[in-house]
Amino acid sequence: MQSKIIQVTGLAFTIAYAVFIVWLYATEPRTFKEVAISAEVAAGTYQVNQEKFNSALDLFRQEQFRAARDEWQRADPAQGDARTQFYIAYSFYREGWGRLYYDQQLFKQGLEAVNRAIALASTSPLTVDDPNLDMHSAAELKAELEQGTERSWSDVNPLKVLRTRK
Amino acid sequence: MTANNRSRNRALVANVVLPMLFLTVVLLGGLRVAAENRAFIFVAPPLVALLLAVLLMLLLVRGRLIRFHKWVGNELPPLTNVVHIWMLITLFFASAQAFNSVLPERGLLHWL
Repeated sequence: MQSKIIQVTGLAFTIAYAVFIVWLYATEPRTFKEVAISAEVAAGTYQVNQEKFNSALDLFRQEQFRAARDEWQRADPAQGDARTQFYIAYSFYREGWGRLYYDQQLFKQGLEAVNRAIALASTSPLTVDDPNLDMHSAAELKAELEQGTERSWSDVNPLKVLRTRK
Repeated sequence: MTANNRSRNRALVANVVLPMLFLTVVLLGGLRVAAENRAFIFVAPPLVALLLAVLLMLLLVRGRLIRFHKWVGNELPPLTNVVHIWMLITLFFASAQAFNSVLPERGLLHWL
């Protein structure tokens, strides 16, 4: 009987250990800190650092987009919060937007961020109620970023200089 | 009493310590630390390491270091069979990762 208990306990422990190893190889954390963050994400207890998020939002409103992104990345190191990823994408959009041309590199990075945001909020459409933004949904932002990365004859239309940034 | 302790310790070694040891080899065999920033890099076993592990398992069976029929068989209780199969699986992956840790990460063996 005792040997049976040892067998069952040993099997359970080693299977749990094996699952942990598979999870480590799947998530590929680079530091012990990332291991802890990944574990929080897996356990569903992950939260963004609200203080850093707010300071990033202040920077964003002052049009300091790179600094804002940097703060948001520190607030959400696991890239697991849809709202933060939406704002990061928005900062790429605003920084990359130009009256004469769009910065393709920044728009592509923005597209990646907004896709992350959409994937994270897959249960319901992501909307952000921020009066300082002209686009409130991730879908709108994605469409705008996609249009910016596409090339068409309308790009040479001189009236395009009259367009406004959202 | 001594015989009882002996069997308990043997069961502990066979069912807990050995699989844990093998799994630790699985964990560490593919782990590298980057020289510049000391970041962890996890390298999954390449196909050649898995093939070498298969060959090693065959060698262990053929050399009778593992007596397969004593580990897995009709006459054994199902739980014991499951535990033994699990042990063989951990041994297989430990072998693969041991090869992974010593093989160069590029070159002739990776043409597969």
